[in-house]
Parts: sequence; structure tokens; C-alpha cells
Amino acid sequence: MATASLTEYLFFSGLLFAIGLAGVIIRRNIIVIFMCLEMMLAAASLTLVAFSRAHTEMNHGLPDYDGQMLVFFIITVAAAEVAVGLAIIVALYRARKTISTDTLTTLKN
Amino acid sequence: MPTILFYLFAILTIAGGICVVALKNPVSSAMGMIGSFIGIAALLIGLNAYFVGTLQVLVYAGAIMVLFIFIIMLLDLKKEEGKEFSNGSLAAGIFIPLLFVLITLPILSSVKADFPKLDKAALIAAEVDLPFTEVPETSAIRNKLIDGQLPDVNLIGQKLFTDYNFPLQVVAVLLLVATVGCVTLSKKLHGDEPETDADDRMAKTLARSSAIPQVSIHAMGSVAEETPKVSNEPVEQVELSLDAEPEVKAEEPLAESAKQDEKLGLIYEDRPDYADDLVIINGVGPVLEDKLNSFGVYTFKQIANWSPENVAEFDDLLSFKGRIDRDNWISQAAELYSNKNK
Repeated sequence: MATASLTEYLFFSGLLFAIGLAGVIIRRNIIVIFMCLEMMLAAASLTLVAFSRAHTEMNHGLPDYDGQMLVFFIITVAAAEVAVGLAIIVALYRARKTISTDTLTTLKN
Repeated sequence: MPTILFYLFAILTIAGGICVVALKNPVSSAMGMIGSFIGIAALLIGLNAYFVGTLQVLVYAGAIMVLFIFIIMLLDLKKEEGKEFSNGSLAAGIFIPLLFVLITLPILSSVKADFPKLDKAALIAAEVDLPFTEVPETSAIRNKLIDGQLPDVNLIGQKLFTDYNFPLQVVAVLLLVATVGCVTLSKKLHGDEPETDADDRMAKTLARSSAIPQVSIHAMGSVAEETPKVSNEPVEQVELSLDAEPEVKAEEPLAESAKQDEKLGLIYEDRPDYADDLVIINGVGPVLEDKLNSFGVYTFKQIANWSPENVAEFDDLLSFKGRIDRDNWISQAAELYSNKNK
């Protein structure tokens, strides 16, 4: 049976990253922007794992687990980042009563 | 991973991603995100990264998305809808990612790099290849490889606790710092109520002001039955103002420090006892409240009675550009004031 190749995985990751980027630029709701950032991180992780799987031959015939280690740490850091980021958003909402980036323009002028 | 399964999960992931970007309701966005993460987890498992795929489901689709949905529910974001997508950002948000996709397109036309085989024969051969200095004999890794299985978790564990031991401990410190940070950030500020719902805050303010007898002649009517210890204080005064119309200025027992200013409307020189929590008004934060107080504005009623000239003056003083009108302070204040008098 034909299997998906590295090129397909890489292009797919790029596409997912682009969708996340579009979300970050278009959306005005900070929480949704944050979700799109997570999507970009996940797309990058997928690339790392795809390369880890592709480098099997250089690693005694097993996947190269250095790439997966990096993904492991990315997931950990992302979890911590989400916790702190959402705490900041809640604090912001408490102070300003809005989380739309259109109205949060204190630094603009 | 068979190509058909790859495309199935790839489409699920992309569809989820598009839902996140396109749907206006943040809860729908979060649901699309969960679908997207599950698709990514399936793709990871298709890459023989079973442990990372499981982590993806547990941490991303589980913990992180629950946290997101929890916060969305907590913040009550209904009023944010409809303000999305301005034309400029829509154009930039389509053009820049499109450019990115155009850059990644040549990958598809490059040489098709197939993944090396990882079947039973390849795994048994890998066991022979594995140096004994790295993985000792009769270890779980070798036993599984001899059986023709990929010891994914064992290999990750070995890597994590040997080569990546120091980063692992640094991550532990990072998590600790993040925990402390969250606690500090969500600690309530002095006098700031943790409730985000304006009505809840209103109720709190009412209850608080009713605890101080001479403060809330207007609020007392509604709360007097529930707080009997208050009612032996200035009862006659309560009855006087209970049937008063909120619009009539004379009914409000004006403090001595109150005076009518031509530009600023009614202002108080000192903080009156019945000062309101102005932060309840949408658009007024603690900083603005301090500023307003410094100009002598302490109550909803003052704001509700502002004339257009007053508004213009305050716009200048607070260096806003029409924010008072935009956030509708006056009608908000009038409503809050009438609620308070119920």
C-alpha cells in the first residue's frame, strides 16, 4: 500500500502553519489569536516528528528521538505558556472589561 | 501511514483550523481547534511517534483546550461578536499566509522523499545494529525490538533521562515559575472583586454599601430587610429618598464638598460617603477611576447627568478621543444608578 511521504507531511505542516498565521492576523479576539498560535506551534512540532521519522537510517534503523524530545519540550512549554497567557487575559479582562485587540490600544499613541 | 488515512486526517486538521479562523463564536473556534489537534495526533501516530501522539491528545486536546473553553465561558464574550474582521486585516491575513504557502509549494514538486521502512524485519535488524554501550543486553528495548515491535516509550524514556536530563530539570523549574506566575496574576487586587459579570459586581457593591449605614440611602430600601442591624440607623432618611425620582437632583443628599462646575458638571471636592464603584462601567478601569476621582467624579449619578459639554471636557481631560460616547458611559451610568435605587 502506498504511504504518505515526507514531502506531503512537510507541505501539510506549512499549510497548517499558514492557517494559524492567518488567524493571528485576522482575528481580534485575544483568546482566538492565542489558539491560532498554539496551532502554529503544533504545525512546527509535526515537522519535527516527520524529520525524526525520516532520519531513521542515521540512527541504527530507529527513529531519531532527538526530534521527538524537542516536541516533548515544546508541548511542556506550550502548556505553561497557555496557563500564564490565559491568566494574563483574565487579569486584562478584569481591568478593561474587553479582550478585543481593537480596544486595547493604550500603547498606540 | 497509508496515503488515504493521511489525507483523511489532514483534511480533518485543515478543516478544524479553518473553523478556528473563520467562526465568530469563540466556543465554535475552540471546538474546531479540538478537531484539529486530534487530527494532528493521528498524523503523529502515523509517523510511529506513539508517545508524542498520545501527549498531543492528552495535553493539547485535553488540558489546554479545556483551559481555553473554561476561560471563554468565564469571560462571557457574547458582546465581542460582530466586531471581527476589519477589511485591512482581512487582506493582510489572506495575502501573507498565501505568500507563505507559495514559498512552501516547491516542496511538493521536489523529489518525493519516502520514509524509511520500519517494519518487523527492519526493527529486528535495528536491534543487531544497536551498540551495547547505549542499550544493555536484556533491556526492555532489546526485547521488544527482537519481537519486532517499536519500543517507542522505552526509547523516549531512555533519551529523556540520559541525554536530556538537564533540560528536563530546567523544564521542572519553568513549570514551577509558571505556577507561581499564574497564582500571582490571578490574585485579586486590593478591593477588586474577582467577579467578571457586571451584575454580580453590582450586587456586591450594593451589599457592601448597605453595610455602611449613612452611605446608601438609596440602596438601603432593597437590602434593609436582609440586614436588620442597619435599619436602626437613619430610617427616616431612607423613607424620604425611597420614593424619590432618580432624575431629580435635589433628592440626593449632597455632601458639603459638592459644587456645580460649569465645565465639569457636578463635582465633589472630597470623596463622598456614597461614592460608587465606577469600574463597573464598561470602559472604566481602575486607572481611569482614579483619574475621575481626582477630577471630583465619584458617583454614577454625576456621570449620568453629564451634558455634551461636560463629555467634551472630560474627553480632553482624560485624553480620550470620544471614548465616553463610544462606550456609552452616560446611559450605562444612568442604568446603574436606577438599578441602585431599586
